[in-house]
Amino acid sequence: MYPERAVDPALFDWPSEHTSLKGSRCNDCKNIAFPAASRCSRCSGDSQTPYELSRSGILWSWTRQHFPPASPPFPPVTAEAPFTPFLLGYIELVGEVRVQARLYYPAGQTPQIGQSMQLVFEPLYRTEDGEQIIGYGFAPQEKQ
Amino acid sequence: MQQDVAIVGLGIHPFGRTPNRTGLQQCAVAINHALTNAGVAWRDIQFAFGGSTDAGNADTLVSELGLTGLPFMNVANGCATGGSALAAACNTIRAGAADLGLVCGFDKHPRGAFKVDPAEWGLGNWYGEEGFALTTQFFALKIQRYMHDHGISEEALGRVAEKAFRNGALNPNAWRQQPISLDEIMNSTMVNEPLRKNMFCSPSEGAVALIVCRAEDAHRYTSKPVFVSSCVMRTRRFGTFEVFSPSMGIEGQKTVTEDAANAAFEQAGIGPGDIDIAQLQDTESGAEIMHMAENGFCAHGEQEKLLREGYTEIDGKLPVNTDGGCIANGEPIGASGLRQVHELCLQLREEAGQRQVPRKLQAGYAQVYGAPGVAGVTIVTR
Repeated sequence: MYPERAVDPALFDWPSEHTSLKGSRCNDCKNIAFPAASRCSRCSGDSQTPYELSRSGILWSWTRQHFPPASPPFPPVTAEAPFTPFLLGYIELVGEVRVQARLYYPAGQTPQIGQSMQLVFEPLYRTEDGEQIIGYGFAPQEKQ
Repeated sequence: MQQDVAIVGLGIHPFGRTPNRTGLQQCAVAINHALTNAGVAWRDIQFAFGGSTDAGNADTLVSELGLTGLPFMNVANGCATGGSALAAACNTIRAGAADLGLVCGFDKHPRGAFKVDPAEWGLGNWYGEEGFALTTQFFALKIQRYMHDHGISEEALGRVAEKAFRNGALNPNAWRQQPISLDEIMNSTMVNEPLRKNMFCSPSEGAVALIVCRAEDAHRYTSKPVFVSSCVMRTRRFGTFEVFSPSMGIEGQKTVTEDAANAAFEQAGIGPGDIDIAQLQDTESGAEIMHMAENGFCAHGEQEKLLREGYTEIDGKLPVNTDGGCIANGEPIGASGLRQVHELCLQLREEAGQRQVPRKLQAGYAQVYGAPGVAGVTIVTR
């Protein structure tokens, strides 16, 4: 078993049984930021409280990345880890904030603006030392 | 209307790829053209503002042009470099600190999409590891939502690109001088849905130089001065969707382009209805469509009909990106904003050759947009 870790521990805890994205809430204007901020981008207030973001939201916009982004900062594309186009977009966490995220859809499905989405954590890449880096994303909410 | 600073000299180095010249050398060529155009010598220039993103320090140009000792300020403001340099030059003249100055912008980027270091944009490295450090994605995400909200079709995106290449074909300084059919554009490789390869501009090379002076002195240098009625640069406010945003506030707010546009119209004392020609940031065709509305030239959603009717063609009611815009010229970041102003000056002076707008032009409008959510607007008048 290779060790796993979050792409950035400031974004979410990993490994973890029940984790969510870490934001912050301004003590002055109640604005919610992601990633957690030390100063509010809305009112410039410098007093923030950690805030656990909602695990579900609605799709605000989406696109697909068809060519490999420059590496670094993107993980190197190799024969063992070839590039495959990926989906990304913004999820509106109602009453909180819109967050940029990878989107994970079953093959053949096209994202629909307005659909319900839920937070997921997926492997992003493996480091040279064999560590599995985990990223965050959203997937369409499974029908109840 | 404010008309206290005049543009009296124009110089441009062709955009595209010039393997045998550095960015600085291309800028020196543009500056020499501008000096000749204004009928002045380098030693007459009292100050300069200029910049590039990837092609070196503008003030190094003194060793190419002559060590006269003039103050030469480097400007590094991404896509707003040219606009910021022009604004600073105008303010220098208005402050009475000098009478005659140079504004220049140039760049030379490697092939392929802009390489982005998240740290330079105040972002954690994770942003790049997730695969978000690309400006193209932002434009795709913004137009995708805009099309959903305002009923813009994919064909409208194609029409903007088709116009850009058609106009570029009339511009001897453009990078892309071949028309491309709507069909070919609509079938070009998908880059980021809904945007295809032929709808995007690419990083390129080029340089532009302008000579500016006090309006009352303009007649000494040219019989056709163009006046800077406003020159405004703004950064984003909270709650708008801009490049490189890991998140954004939900409450609506005017975009940075709307803010810059409003300030520029106020400064110039005129409105969108007074503008005869516009150069709008067209990083890709969706941007031109959205910027038509954000700059006040139409209502959101109206673009679909306007494009179909040829409203923004050279012979239309409001010609937009008459020199082919970023799509046909590519985007040398430091030079791009001044290219727009250069084109407006040519058009107002009736020197635009084959692409000359076939009617009298009084006021021109230029808008740039770029990372990390900055916009610059310049309004010029005759």
